[in-house]
Amino acid sequence: MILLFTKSTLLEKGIIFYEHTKTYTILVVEDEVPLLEAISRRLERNGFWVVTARSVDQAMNHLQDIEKVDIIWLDHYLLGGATGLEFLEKLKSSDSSWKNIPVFVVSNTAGADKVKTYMQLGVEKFFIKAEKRLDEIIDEIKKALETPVNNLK
Amino acid sequence: MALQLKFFLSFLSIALIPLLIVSFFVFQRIRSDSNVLFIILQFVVVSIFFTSLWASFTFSRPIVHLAELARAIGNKNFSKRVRIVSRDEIGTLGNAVNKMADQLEAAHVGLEETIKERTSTLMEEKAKDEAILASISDGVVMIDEKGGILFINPVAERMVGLRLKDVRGENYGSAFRIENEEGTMLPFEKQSLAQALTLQKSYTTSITEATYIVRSDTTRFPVSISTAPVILAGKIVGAVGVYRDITKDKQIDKAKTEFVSLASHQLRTPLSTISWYGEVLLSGDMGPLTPKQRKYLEEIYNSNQRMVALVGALLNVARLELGTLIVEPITTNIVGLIKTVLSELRATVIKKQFIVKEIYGKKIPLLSVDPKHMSIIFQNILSNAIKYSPSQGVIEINLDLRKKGSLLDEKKKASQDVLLFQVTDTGIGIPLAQQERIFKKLFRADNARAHDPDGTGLGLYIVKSIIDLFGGEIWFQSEEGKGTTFYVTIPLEGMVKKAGTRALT
Repeated sequence: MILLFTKSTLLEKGIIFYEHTKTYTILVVEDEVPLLEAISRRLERNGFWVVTARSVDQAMNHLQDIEKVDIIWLDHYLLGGATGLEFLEKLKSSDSSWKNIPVFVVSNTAGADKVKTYMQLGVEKFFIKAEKRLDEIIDEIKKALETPVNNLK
Repeated sequence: MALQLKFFLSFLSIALIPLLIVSFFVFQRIRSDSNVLFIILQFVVVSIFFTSLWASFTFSRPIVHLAELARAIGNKNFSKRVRIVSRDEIGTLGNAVNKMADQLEAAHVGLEETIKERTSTLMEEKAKDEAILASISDGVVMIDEKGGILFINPVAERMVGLRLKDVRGENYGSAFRIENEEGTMLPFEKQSLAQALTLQKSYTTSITEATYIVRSDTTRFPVSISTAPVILAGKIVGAVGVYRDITKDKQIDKAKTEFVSLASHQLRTPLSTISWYGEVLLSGDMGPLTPKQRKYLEEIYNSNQRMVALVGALLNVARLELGTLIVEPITTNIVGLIKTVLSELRATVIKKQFIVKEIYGKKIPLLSVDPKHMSIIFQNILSNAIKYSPSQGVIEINLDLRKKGSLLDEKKKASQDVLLFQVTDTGIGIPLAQQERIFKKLFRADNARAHDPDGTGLGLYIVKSIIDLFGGEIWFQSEEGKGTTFYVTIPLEGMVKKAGTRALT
C-alpha cells in the first residue's frame, strides 16, 4: 500500500488542516447532539475553528469568553426554552461588535412569519436543514465570508 | 226650543190674527151683549193659545228627539234611540234614524274589537322579534342612513359595554370603537357598516382580517363582521351589522398553524440527521467505503431525500387545506418567472438533450400575482414535462393573452380575459383510464411510477389547489406514449391579497 503523502490526501484523511492565514471561528448553536457532531466535523474539515453551544445561555457565554467569533450558525429551537430568535435579538441589541457578526440560520421551521422576523432582524441567509446538504450550506458560508463581508448592517 | 216656539207662534198667528180681524168687524155691528161676546172671544183666544201650544209641542217633539239623537251620535254615544210611534213620514224618519244608530253602534263595537285583536297580535309579534334578537348569540346593530344607531340587541350591548337606551340615536362611530391589529382606531367611514351604506353592498370579514371591538372598559376582542344595507322601496334606509366574537376561532386557527409548524419541525429533524450523517459517511470522512457499502448508503440517502420531498409537499398541502396560506400579490413579470424556472431546470434539459421552444405572446401584461405560487405552478408543470419525457424530446411552452370568449383549445372558451400557459411534451403521456385522478392527492399514474419511482403524487394536487385559489383553471390533453399538453389559465385581474399565517415553501 503506497500512501501518497500529498497535502490533499492528508487533508482528506483529516490528518492536517488547511493552513489559512486566517482561520475563521464559527459558533454553532444547535440543540441536537448528533447534528452538532456532524456539523462540527464537516466545518473542521473545511478549515473552521468550531465552538458549539446548545442553548442561548451557553452561546452568550462563549461569545463573552472567545475573543473573536467570525460567523454564527444558528438553529431556532434550542435547549432551555429561549429560541434562536431571542439570541439574535440579544446579539443585535448589544452595543459591542457582536451585532455585526454574520448569522446563518439553519432550521427546520420555515414558517413565513418566522423567516420574515429573522430577515428583518438581519441574517445572512435562512436555510432549511432537511433540504440542504451540509456541504452546500458550508459552501455558501465560505462564499459569504470571502466576499467583502462589509455590507454588515 | 226654538222649533217649538216657531211652531207655536205660527199656529197662534194663523189662528189668532184672522180671529181678531173677524172679531173686530163683528164687534162693530153688534151693540148689545157685547160683554158676553167679549167673554166668549177671550175664551176662544185662550183655547187657541193652548191648542197652539199643544200642537207646537206635538209637531216639534219628534224632530227635537231626532236632533238630540243626531247630536248624541255625533258625540260617539251610540246607545240612544228615539221613540216615534206616528205612522207618517216623521215616523219613517224616526225608524230610519234608529236603524242607522243601530248599525253605527254595531260597527263601532266591531271596530273596537278588531283594533284590540290586531294590537294584541302586533304586541305578540313584537315580543317574538325581540325574543329572537335577544337570543341570537351574535351582536346585531342597525343604523339609519346617516349612521345613527337605531337598535342594538342585548349581545351587542354586552360587546361594547353600553346600553341601548344610552346609545340610541348616537352616531355609530362614537359608540362603537373598532380597531385593527395594531390598535389604530378605524374611523366610522372605513368600517364595514359605513361601507354597506355607501357602497350598498353586503360584506363579511374573514377570520384572518384583524378587527377588534374595544369595550367600554378598554379590553378588546376580535370580531367577524357581516354587514348589509337595508333597502326599502328602492331607497337605502340604513344598514344592519352582525358581530361575532371570534376569539375561539382565532385560537383554533392559531393552534392549526402551530400544529403544522410543529409537525414540520418534528418530521424534518430526524430526516435532516439521516441526511447529514449519510452525507458525512458518503464523503469518506469516517473512513473509506467499500463499493457495496457505498451503494447501500446511497440507497438510504436517496430514500431519505424522497421522504424530505414528501414531507415538504405534505406540509404545503396542509397549509393549503387549512387555509392558513399567505397570498402576497405583487406586480410580476410572468415571462421572467417562467424563464427563471427554466434556467433552474437547464442542467437536466441539457443532459437529456431536450429541445425547448418558448413562444411568448407579444404584449403580455404584468400581473398582480404571488410570484412564489406562480413559480410552484410553472416549476411543477415544467419539471413534469422534463421528467416524464425520454431523452431528445421536444418541449413547447406557450404563453399568450386570451380575451373573453376566445378559444383556449379546440373545445374550451375563455369565460374572462386570461393569460393562457401551455406546455406540450413528447413524453409518456397519461393513460386514459387514469386521467380523471391525475389531480388527486398522492395519485401517480402507473406508467409514471414505472418511469420514475421518486414522485410524491402531490405536485399536481398542490398546483390545482393554488390555481383554484385565484380563480384560474388547469386541464390537460394526453395520449399514452405520445405526449401531454397542460393548460393553465390565469385571470388578468390577478390574485387577491390574503393575510394568512404561513407561506408555501
